[in-house]
Amino acid sequence: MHQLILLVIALPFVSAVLTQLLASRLGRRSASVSIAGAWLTFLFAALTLWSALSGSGVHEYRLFSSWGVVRFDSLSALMSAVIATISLIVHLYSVRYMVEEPGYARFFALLSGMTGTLLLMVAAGDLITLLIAWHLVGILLYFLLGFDTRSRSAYRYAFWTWITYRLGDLPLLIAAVLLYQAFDSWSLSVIFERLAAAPDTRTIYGLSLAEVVGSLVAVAAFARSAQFLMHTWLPYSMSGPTPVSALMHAGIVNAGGFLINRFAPVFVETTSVLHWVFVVGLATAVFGSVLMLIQNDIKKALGYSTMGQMGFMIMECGIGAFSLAIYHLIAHGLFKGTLFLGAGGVISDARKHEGVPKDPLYNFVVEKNPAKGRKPWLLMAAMTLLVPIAILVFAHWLVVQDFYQKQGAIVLLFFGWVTGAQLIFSTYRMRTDKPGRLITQVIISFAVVVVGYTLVSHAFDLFLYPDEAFRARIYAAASIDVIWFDVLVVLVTAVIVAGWLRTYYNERNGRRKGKVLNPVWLGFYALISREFYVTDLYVLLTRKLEFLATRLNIWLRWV
Amino acid sequence: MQELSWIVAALFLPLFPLGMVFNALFQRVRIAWVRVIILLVWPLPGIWILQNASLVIPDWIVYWALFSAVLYGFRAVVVKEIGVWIGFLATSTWALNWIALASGVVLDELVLHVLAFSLPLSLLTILVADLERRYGSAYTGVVSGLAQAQPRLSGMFVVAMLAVIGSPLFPAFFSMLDIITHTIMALPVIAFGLVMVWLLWSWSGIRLLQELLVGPAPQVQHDDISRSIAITYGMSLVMLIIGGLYLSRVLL
Repeated sequence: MHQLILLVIALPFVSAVLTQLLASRLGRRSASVSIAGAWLTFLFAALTLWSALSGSGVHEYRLFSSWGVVRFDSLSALMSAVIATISLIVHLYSVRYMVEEPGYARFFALLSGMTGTLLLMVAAGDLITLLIAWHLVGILLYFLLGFDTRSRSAYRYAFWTWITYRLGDLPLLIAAVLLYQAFDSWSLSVIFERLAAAPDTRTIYGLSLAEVVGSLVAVAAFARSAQFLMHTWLPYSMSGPTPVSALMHAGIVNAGGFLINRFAPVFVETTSVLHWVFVVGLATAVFGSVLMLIQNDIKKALGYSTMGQMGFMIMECGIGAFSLAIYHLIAHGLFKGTLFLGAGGVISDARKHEGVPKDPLYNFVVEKNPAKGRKPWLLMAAMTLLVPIAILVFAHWLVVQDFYQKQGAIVLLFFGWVTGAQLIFSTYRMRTDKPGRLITQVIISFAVVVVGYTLVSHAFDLFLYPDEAFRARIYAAASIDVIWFDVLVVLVTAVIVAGWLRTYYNERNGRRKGKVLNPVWLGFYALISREFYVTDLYVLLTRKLEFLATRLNIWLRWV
Repeated sequence: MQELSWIVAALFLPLFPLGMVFNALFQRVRIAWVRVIILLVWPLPGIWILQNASLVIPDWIVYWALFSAVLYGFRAVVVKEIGVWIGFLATSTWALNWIALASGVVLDELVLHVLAFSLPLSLLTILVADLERRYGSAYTGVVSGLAQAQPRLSGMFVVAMLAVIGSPLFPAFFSMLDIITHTIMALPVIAFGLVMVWLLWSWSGIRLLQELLVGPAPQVQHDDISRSIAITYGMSLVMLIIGGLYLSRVLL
């Protein structure tokens, strides 16, 4: 049944070509070819995943002499099923959403083409096929984002996407060429096998091949997954049709996580790459989340939310939790896709029904109107600190009893603890008639999420990386010196705990009110409202380059 | 004699400032088929000279070739006249042949590398002629909103432009991949320069395309290309893809 993966890849391309060719004869009805293709792709992708779950192993199919290898393994089967599912939903949603748009058939042809390219990317078994698919995704996305050829703004931001993606294509290309030169093969399985046999292979300038290739692959992943400094295209590319935004946020932007997983055999041979992958992911998560909070445009806020989530995904890779990153990208894809597809309805409802019911949550979140009565702060502080850690330890103990021996697991635990504690902390100030009930609900919800997340991510670990020794090597590649690690954990914990305690204490004594914002905070607000001036900097740089090119042309008389 | 061979070769596989001769000539010629012939024939004497003179290319020429490619690629970013842009791209791409040769690409394969770029540029030249026939010029400041006015012609422009800037499955993609593969170990700096040149082509190509296609339809309406012509162009593009697949088999 694993041969079906060939059909899974071929079907969308065939339906894309047929949709476009039949457009002049069938008009808008030619879109039904694309929809039928999406259904069949979904069906076959589901069967392929079933085959992988049944333990079909790894198979490769060669279409050309030196490249064109399609690889069936657990990662490609899982990603194919995810892409096919999201693509089907987007196809079905677009049937009515795009019906009044000129170029209806062209849209579906592009959508099917994009689906096929994504499927080819996740199933590529050699570097050339991977490069081709990786590059084509950027091209097709450009034309999908700029679907409305009248809109100059849509194309302006589609161009930002294009150029960032091209920047990301090039490190991957260099990495591919270096691997080829080292191992004399484009095949991923041959390369990984030879790298495992000779992990100390050197490359240009006598550098470690694994370190150089790992770094280049990471940069390619950063560009694709909108990591900090390569993120500006993401929040601005909202001028494209909503189904494209949904597909992009659910199935394209998270390709960085996939790429790092695909090159896992390279990353296990590295010593420092995953550390700075973690740092970049962390910075992106923080900057993305901060920028999301100040947006007043729902789609732009979703864009920055995606950036923050991509930061978390890359951060997970940085701590060695590769399979968790795959789970994260799937969960985020489904959740963000839903939000995008629902955004239009929400905006429409808000326009029709002015006024939002002012329930306690609204008062708390929007009106910033906290409860007047204070709960016992010491009890709340103790709960904030202890309950999340108890739940997290229990959940992890359920799956692996020695989980705390891995630094990556500790870091995840730490983030889970911060998130859970922040959740409980927030309820402290929320106005409610039954505080006990509210806190109980919060704790139960948190426990369900944590236990579910832990169990599912463990299942992903077993499915994607069944070899326990390999899993341990990924965590080992991500780990740092134990003393430094402990110092960092204690330091960050102390800062966070001190912050919470101080805020609780201030709340108790009512010291938050009446404070005038100082210039530092105002300056910080100005900084984030200008999105850290990153976009301005790029625009300025581009203008300077264009000015220089124009001057050169004038000096050289345009010949 | 050897110096003369270098200079003549640098004229036909244009290195700056000799590339200015080619561009001046190319801009002066206004007839499409003559332009196509120039694009297809111009680099051949350069290859012939290198083949017969058995010259060993020194490193400084490789750096000079990269500089020429970067210079013309960079200058192309702000060009609005598509004919001028084609000339700049031809100059930028042909200069890479020096690098290919120096890094071990077989001389017989060099013709394939040249054709990988010259063929899509020739097709684009023919499309430009279609555009000039309708609008009197192919200047993006004058022509815009082409996608609304002539969707078929626009479609062909898009695909031809993608072929020129080295998008996957077209010959230029595999040609660039081959040159970078040959260069990376011996001259890594040159290989990094090559990917930057590729980026410049993408930047300039898409910028040009965008200015040409996007926007409301022009007030003065012209006919689109006929269905049969569109099929002919489409077939040419399919042939280019087949050529790309063939090139991948030969080179990689």
